[in-house]
Amino acid sequence: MLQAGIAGFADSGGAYAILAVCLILVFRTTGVLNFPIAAVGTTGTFLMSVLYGHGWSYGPAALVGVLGGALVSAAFGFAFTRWFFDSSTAHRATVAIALLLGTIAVSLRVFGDTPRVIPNMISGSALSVSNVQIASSSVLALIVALVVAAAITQTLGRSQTGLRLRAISQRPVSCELLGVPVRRLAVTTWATSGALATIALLLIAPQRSTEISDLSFLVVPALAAALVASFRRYVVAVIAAFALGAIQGMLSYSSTLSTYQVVIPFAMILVLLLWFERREVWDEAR
Amino acid sequence: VVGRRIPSRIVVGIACAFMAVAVAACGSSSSSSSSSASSSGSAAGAATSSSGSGPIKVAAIASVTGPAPFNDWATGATAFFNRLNKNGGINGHKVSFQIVDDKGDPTQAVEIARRLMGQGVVAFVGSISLADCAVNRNYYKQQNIVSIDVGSDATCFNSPNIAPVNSGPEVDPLIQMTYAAKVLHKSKICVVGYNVPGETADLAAAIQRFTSITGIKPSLELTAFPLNGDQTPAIIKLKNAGCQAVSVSADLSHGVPFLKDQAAQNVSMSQMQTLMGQGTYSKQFASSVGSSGNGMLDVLELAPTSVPAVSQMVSDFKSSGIPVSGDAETGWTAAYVFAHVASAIKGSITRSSVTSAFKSLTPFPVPTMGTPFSFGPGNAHNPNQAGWPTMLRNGRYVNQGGKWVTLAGFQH
Repeated sequence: MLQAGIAGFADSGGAYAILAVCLILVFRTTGVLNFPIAAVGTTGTFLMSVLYGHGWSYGPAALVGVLGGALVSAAFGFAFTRWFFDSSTAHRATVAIALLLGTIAVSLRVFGDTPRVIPNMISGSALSVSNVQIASSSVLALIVALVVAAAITQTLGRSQTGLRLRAISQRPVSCELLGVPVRRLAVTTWATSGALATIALLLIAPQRSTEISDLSFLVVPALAAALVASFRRYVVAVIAAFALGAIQGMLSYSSTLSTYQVVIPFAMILVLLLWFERREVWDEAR
Repeated sequence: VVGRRIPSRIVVGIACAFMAVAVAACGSSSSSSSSSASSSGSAAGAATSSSGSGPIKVAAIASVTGPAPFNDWATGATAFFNRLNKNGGINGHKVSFQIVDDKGDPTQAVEIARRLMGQGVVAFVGSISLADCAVNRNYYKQQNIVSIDVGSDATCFNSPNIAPVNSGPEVDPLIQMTYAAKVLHKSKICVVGYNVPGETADLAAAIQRFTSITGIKPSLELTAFPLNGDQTPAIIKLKNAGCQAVSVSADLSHGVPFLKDQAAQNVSMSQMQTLMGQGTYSKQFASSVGSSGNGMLDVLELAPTSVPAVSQMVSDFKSSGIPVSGDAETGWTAAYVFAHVASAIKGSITRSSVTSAFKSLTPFPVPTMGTPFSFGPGNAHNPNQAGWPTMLRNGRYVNQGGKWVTLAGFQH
């Protein structure tokens, strides 16, 4: 079971972590729960796959895929800043869910529903832990997740841009009146998250079922990890994502519990929401 | 100004529009085929008398979209009927064939079956659905209509009015396991199946029959592995159990990551021989899995497309622009069976005459099957009891032995 935990940690944790970081980034700067994030990454990954299938080499195809993911995400960001920036949380969440379903639907129309060839970004194994081969792509995902989490933490905490982004998340209209380029910064944030999500999917997709809906719903474990970090602390989200990957791996090893593996992120979300809301319920009851 | 507020009804309207697009795209891809031609010819080689007017209506209920999509399976029937119609149809009547997507949804499968019956279909041909057999088999019996389908669960193989052309989720892994034991002489044999509704029970039945035929109990049984997760834990478990051969009930989307993870964990085919089935027999699978699939044994439920016996089928696929694959072969085989039986009917080709012909059918050989197709008056039908072993080598399926292996042969 330990070996399976290590496999889950390595194979799933990195991608979950990158997606969780993207979720927090967008939520902290624009107040939107970015439900379509994994679907956007899937779109970029499938775009890469199409180009690769037409004889492109991996590098340029992946670059175009990442740019495609960034572009789609930027379009979503533009829509939010244009029409929904000061809408209620419920409205924004509704629109985000609609975008998730819409992205899946459009991807199915564009790419078809047949699983695709997704080559590995890096092939071969990097190291062996407890007799489990850790793929080079898994190590890369781990590095990317940690670097991105650290970079975003530094940028938001210490730079002028970070200060502006934090201000936008609190008072968007005031920021704009003060001359802060709110829309440009917000769209840039969305584009960055789209590019990172595509990188995450490029890393995890070769080891997974390459069906659009399966990959698009990788947002669920990422949401669970982001929730553990209260949508605030990037490094905590990264740790939670890897822990979630390890738990899922361990459950897969058990013949009895493996069926419930997919339920774990939902259960985590439910328990955490109940925990976060406990005081409000208690206060209301009083 | 950023954040200009818009009325909430517009927000809700936009959300609903996206939902509608999503729902529309997640299903409802039905297609139809009813090509026309003038020259007369034969169905499966035979053409005799017919009466009545208009085309012979047949249809397939297929889970083209949904949780486990069967894309391009029933289209093989389209290719067969296209050629048939060009040659004059069955006894001078064109065949009107349509594929309707039930999205794997039982409610839709029920509704579609009744709608198609209302349209006058005389038989269901090439259906491949997660729900059809389970929810419609009693209805088919009541309505006295037959379905020559591709069985996805046990209910398809246990109905008086349904006969699948494939060996199915019980016989397919059973032949793989028995091949590993009797031909490859492996003693530690393991089984992997995915958490697909109905398949777990089929796999359990296959394991029971395997033990009864060979006296071997599988070393490890993973009969309901998660569909969407990382497969490395399964590989580790199989490796730790010392499995010398593993039968994996996979399709393209699960077979590729399984073989990639097996290769990533340095578990060679000589250490653990992986066997899969018809669902992983396609150019796309071979290309997707790359060198990780080298040495994988694919025991096919239907003949490989490389053998001369199925050259007509390959030609049909090419003429209709359908990729040559084992998936489409199932639909083509169902169409062949229907045309063979219908073309022998004297008089009108109606629902009643077709059902009657199948119920009194003498088993006959089908070029894509290793055992004769049979139907008859029984309450259960599983005519395909054979497998054709191939090995994946550098993106090509290489025949192993060049002949069918049958359950009857293993039992002798």
